[in-house]
Amino acid sequence: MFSYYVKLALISFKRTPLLSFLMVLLIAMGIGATMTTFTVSYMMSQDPLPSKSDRVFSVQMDSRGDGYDWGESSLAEITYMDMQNVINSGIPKHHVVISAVSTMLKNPQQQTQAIKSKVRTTNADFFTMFETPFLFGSGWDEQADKQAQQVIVLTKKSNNRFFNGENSVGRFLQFGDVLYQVVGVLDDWQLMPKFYGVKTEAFSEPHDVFIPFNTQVKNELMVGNLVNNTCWKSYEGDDFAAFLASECMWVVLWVELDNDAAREQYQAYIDRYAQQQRDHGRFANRIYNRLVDVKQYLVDEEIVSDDSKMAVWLSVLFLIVCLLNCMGLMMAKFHGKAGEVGLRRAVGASKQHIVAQFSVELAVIGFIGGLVGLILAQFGLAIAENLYNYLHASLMQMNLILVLSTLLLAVLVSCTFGLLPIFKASLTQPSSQLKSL
Amino acid sequence: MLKMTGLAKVYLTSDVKTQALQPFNLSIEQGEFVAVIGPSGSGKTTFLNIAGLLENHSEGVYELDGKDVSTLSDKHKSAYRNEKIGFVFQSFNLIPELNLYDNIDMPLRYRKFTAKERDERIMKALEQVGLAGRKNHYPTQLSGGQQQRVAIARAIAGSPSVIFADEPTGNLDSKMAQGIMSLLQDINASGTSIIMVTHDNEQAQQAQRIVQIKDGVLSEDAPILAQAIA
Ligand SMILES: Nc1ncnc2c1ncn2[C@@H]1O[C@H](COP(=O)(O)OP(=O)(O)O)[C@@H](O)[C@H]1O
Ligand SMILES: [Mg+2]
Repeated sequence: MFSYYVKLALISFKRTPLLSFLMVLLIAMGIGATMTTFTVSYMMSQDPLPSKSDRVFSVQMDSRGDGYDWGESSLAEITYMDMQNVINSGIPKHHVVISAVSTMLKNPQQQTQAIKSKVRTTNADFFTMFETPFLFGSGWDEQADKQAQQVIVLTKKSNNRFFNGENSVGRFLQFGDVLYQVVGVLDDWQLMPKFYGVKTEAFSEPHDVFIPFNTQVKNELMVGNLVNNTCWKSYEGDDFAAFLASECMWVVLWVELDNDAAREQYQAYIDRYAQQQRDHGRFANRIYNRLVDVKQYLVDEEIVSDDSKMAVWLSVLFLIVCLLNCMGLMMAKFHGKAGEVGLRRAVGASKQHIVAQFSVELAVIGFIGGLVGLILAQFGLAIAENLYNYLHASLMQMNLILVLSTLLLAVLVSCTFGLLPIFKASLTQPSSQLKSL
Repeated sequence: MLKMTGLAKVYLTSDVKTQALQPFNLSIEQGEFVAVIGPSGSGKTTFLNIAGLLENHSEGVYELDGKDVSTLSDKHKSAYRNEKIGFVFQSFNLIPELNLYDNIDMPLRYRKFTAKERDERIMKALEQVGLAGRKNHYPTQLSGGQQQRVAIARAIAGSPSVIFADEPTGNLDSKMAQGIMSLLQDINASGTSIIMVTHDNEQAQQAQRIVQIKDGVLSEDAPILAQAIA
C-alpha cells in the first residue's frame, strides 16, 4: 500500500507541478536555513575527545590573595610555581602543560623572509594524551623536556610552508635567532573544539609549531596575547626569573586520570598542596581546587557560544513561517483534490485510507524538500565558511547523522503541518464533488 | 437484500429546509434490475446516494442484507461500499492521471487482494467491457461511451452484489447508450442487482421494475411489458 501511495504522490506532483514546486521550495528554504545554523552549532558542541573526555581534566587552583571575588572569573590558568610543584605527584597517567608564544620562523636554507608564527609550548605528553597523528617522525621524548632541547614539531600546513611538504625530520628551522631541529610533522589534526588553549581560539586551527615548554622557559620566551595571563599581584624585578617566580597565572595544566580512585587521590593531593601553601601564606583567598573534565570545561568557559544557538532559534522561526505558508498551499492542493477524495471514498476508501494517502504525499514532498534543503544548506555553509574564515572549516561540514536528520526533520515537519489540511480533506463526504474531477 | 421502511431525507441548509424524499417503503431482492425515473430535481440521486451508503437518511429504517445501516460505522460503510457495491456515475468520474488499468485498480487497492488477484480481476473486467487491448490508455484518449465502459469495469471488478448507476447514459448518444444498456443487462444476467436512475423512458422499460419519484414522492409502476403480460 505504501508504494501505491508513493506512486499516487508522484502522479499528484506532476498534476500540480507549480504548487508542488512552491511547497518543496518553502520547505527547502526553511530546512536549509535551519540546518545551516544547526550544523555550525552542532559541530561547535561536539565532544573533542570522545574516547577520554571524561578522564581528561583541567587542573584549577585559586592561588589568589585575600579579597578576590569567588564567582565569575575563570581560573583555567595556574602559576608556574604551582604547576612545577604538583607536576611530580606521579598520580595522573599524563600531565600536559600548555602555553604559547609568537615568533618569526623560517627555513634557513630556503627562505629569506621569516614568517610570524604561533608557537604552542607544551611537553611530550601532549602528543600521547591527545593521540596526535604523525605524518613524519613523532613528538619529542621526556628527555627533550628535561634538557629543554631545541626541538620542534610542525603541523602539516607549516611543513608545507617551510619544507614544501617533504619529510623534514632532522632538518632545522630558524626560530628567532636560534635553530630548532624538527622531530616530527603532524598529519591533519583538529580537536573540535580545540579546548586545551585559550577560549578565543577554540575553533581555530592548531598553532603552527610545537616546542617544549621547558625550552620556552630556558630561552626566556615571554608569553604574549596568545595566553591568558592574570597577574593579580605585581612582582619585583623585570627579568624572566622574576616572572616565573611571580603570582601571575598563565600556565594551563591538563591531566589524564584513569579512574575515579585516581581522581580522588589527585584531588586530595592538590588539596593537601594548597593547604601547605596556605600555611605559608599563599592561597589566602580560599582553598578552591577543581578538576574540571573536558565537557564541563566547555560549559564553564562558554566555548559553545550562545550566538550560534540564537541563530538556530531564529532560523527555526523562519522554518515555521515557511511551513505556515506551505500549510496554506497544502490546503489549496487538497481542496483541488476533493473530487478524487469523494470518488475514492465512494468506491470504498475509509477516512484512514485518505489520511494515509495524503500523509505519504506530504512525506514525499517533505523528503524532496529535505533533499533540496540539504543542497541549500551546503550553499549556506559555504557562505558561512567564507564569512567566518577564522572558524575552522570542519565546523561547516555536515556528517551523515546530520544529513539523515535533515531528511527526517523535513518529512516530520511537513506531515505535522499537514495534519490540519489532511484532516480537512478526510472529512470530504463521499457523495459530494462526484460531478467534478 | 435491501429494505427501506418509512425512509425520508431532509436537507438543512442555512435556514432552508428541503424535503428531498417523503417517507416511503421499498424493498429490492437480489438479482433485480430496477429503474428509477422522474423529472430533474425530484430526488433520484438523493435516493441512490442513500441506497448506496454515500449519504445518511434522516428518518426511517434502512436495512441492507438484514443489517440496519444506521448502526454501521464509517469504516464499515466504506468496506461495504468497497466489497458489495459498484457505482457508475453520469460523468464517468475516472481519474484523468491514471490509465485504465490503474483506474479499475483503485477500488481493489482498498481490499486485501494479492497483486496477482487484482491483475486477474482488472483484466477480466476490461475484457467484459471490451477494452482489454487498451489498459495503458488514459481516459481522455477514449470516447464517452468507452469511458463509461471503463467506469463499469471499475464497478464490477470487485464482484459486487449490486450496482448503483446514476444516469449512466445521460452524457452519451443513443447508440453508445444502447451499448451501455446491454452491458448492464449482461451484468444483471449473471446475478448482480442493478439499480439505475434514468430519465429515458425507453431504457426504463428494459428493467424488471420501475420506481418513480416526483417531488420527493416515491411510487412504483409496473413496466409496460409486465403490464401487457398481466
Ligand atoms: N446536498 C444537498 N443539500 C441541499 N439540498 C440538496 C442537496 N442535494 C440535493 N438537494 C436538493 O434535493 C432535491 C433533489 O435533488 P436530486 O436528488 O439531486 O434530484 P435528481 O437527481 O432527481 O435530479 C433538489 O431540490 C436538490 O436541490
Ligand atoms: Mg440526479
